[in-house]
Amino acid sequence: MKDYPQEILGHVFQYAHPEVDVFYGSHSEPSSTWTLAAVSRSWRRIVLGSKALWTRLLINPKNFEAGFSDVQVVFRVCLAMSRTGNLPFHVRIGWETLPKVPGWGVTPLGFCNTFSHVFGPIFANASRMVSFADDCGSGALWLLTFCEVPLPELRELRLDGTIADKWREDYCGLLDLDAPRLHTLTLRNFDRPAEEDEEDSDYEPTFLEHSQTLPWTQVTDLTLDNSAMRHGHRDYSDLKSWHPFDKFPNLTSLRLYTHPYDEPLWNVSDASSPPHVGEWIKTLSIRAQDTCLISLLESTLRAPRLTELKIHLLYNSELDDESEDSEYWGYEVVEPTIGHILGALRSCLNNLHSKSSLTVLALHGLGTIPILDLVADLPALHTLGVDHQLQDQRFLQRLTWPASSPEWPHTLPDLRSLTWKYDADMSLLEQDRIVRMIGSRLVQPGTSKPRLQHLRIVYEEVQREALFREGSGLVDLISSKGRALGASITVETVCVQRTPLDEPDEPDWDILAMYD
Amino acid sequence: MVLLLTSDNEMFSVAEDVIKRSAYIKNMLEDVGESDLPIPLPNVESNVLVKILEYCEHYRGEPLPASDVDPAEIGDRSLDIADWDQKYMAVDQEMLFEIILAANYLDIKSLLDVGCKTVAKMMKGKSSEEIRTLFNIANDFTPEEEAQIRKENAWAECR
Repeated sequence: MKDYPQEILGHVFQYAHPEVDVFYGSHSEPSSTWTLAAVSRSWRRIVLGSKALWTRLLINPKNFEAGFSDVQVVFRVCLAMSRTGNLPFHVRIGWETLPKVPGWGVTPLGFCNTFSHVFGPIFANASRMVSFADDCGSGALWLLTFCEVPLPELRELRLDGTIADKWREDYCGLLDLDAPRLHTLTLRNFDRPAEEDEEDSDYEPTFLEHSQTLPWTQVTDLTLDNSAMRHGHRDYSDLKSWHPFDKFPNLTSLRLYTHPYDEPLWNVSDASSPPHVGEWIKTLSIRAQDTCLISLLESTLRAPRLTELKIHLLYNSELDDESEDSEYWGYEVVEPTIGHILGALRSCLNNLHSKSSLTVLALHGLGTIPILDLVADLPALHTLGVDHQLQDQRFLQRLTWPASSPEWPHTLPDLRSLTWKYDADMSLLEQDRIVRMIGSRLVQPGTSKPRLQHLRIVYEEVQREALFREGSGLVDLISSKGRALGASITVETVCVQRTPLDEPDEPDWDILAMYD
Repeated sequence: MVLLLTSDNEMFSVAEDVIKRSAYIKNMLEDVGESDLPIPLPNVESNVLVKILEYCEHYRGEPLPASDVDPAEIGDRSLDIADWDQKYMAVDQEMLFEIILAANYLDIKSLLDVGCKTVAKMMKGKSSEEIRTLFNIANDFTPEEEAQIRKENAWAECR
């Protein structure tokens, strides 16, 4: 490899897309740019000659409590910045919890005071910054806004509003950035946690009220994770919700994840909405409680360009209301909320310009709702996520390709990826039917190309034994089937934990996100 | 059919729609037109060409990839590799590098990308020393360069 052409090595390095870890240099755990530059003379020549390899700065003082030399870190920051030339650069602040600062403890102020030297040389070049991501609520946005520099190149902003485990209302005001090209905005925990017991805790702050200059109409990609857009007092009638499409009319991608145990619910049905609701939306992902889910779904009924639709019902409040009657949905009896969601989904699909445009559909948390009618006429769907629907015999029959038929089945002819919530209580017969269906879709007659390529099984810890039982567990059965047919299929298993609804603990967001 | 002559003088007869995945061959065919003469491939040995043709045959009929990504922009290039490609690339290191070199020479961008991704994945999470061992690369830094690298990478020690 030492005699490899520089051009090809440069190509390899770009795929490695290393980060420039300013705290740990080549001692960084994952391969960093410093690591590549310390392999050999020829590698170093290539890495130093490629400015693009220096443009992804990582701020990660994970072992900070052991102390650090800020001179050394600042030296590395300056070196990295100079090696970017004039290229745009990215900044990611990436440790899991805010480090304890001697004399300050765990506070954002301590963070800002201690790390200002590190951020100084970076924010001095903020006019070249393309993305800024702070996943851990470090409060670094304070430092950025303190510099009062315009951000003409900033395209992507990702922030956590809970700093050092505390909601900071004043953080909302910092979003008022001069960033005219911003198109991707991800806000997590920009909402007061329900269990917060501070004074005036009934007040619902909203980041929208504080932000005057952010170019909302230019934002095309929005993620609100536990960041409901409400204002007013939660116990009074003046609590209002903003409609996402009212503030962000040009969204092409919208992901809304609400807190599953937070009351009151975020209901946008009475919020003012613009005439072209969801006109440009291509990707819509909602993880929410019933009221919020339904109102958001209904508000996107006119989303004719949808290509990806993912919904995850976290909690159905009507299950607790015994006065509600069940209703018929086709031949099935479903309770009203589920029926309402199905109706909204159907309207959503009916409003597509073309049924062929929808390629991804995931329906989680909806129990065993019948979805055969929904998916039957979606010819281009290649990714499907369901819960227990695979145990619905009619659905399974339609998905199974009969060996005697010369034609590919009409239902989901292009299915390549399937996510499925495993149920350990299913019968051996049901299990056998599922394995047969998967096997039938692995190989297309006449070509050697497998069709169903990826199976993701979501399970709970208590189901582990049944799922992985040697020889008779589903994972073994599916893998054996694939081997017997000479077809390749990736079987991915994801363990999720169920948090009881009466527990006030925060849910594990990453685990919930695994469904996606 | 197109005739290809490898560096070890083996002749291959290949369907035109298969080998046109190579932009180098495609351009040559368009420039020269139909000919009975073989196209010499002085940088490709027969055992490597067999592998290259296996790739082209597998993707026969599939659309050619879009134009190049700007090399100055690293972005979030995914390291995901399709199942079939992973199996195809499960070869010894020498053959892997020969495939990459041949893909570069023949200008088969999708294959070059898969090869580079495979090598990038091999490097992931490794220290400089581990990368040297993995690829059998000598540490040829001068003492002065070593000192500079040590200075750049000094651990952020306690004050």
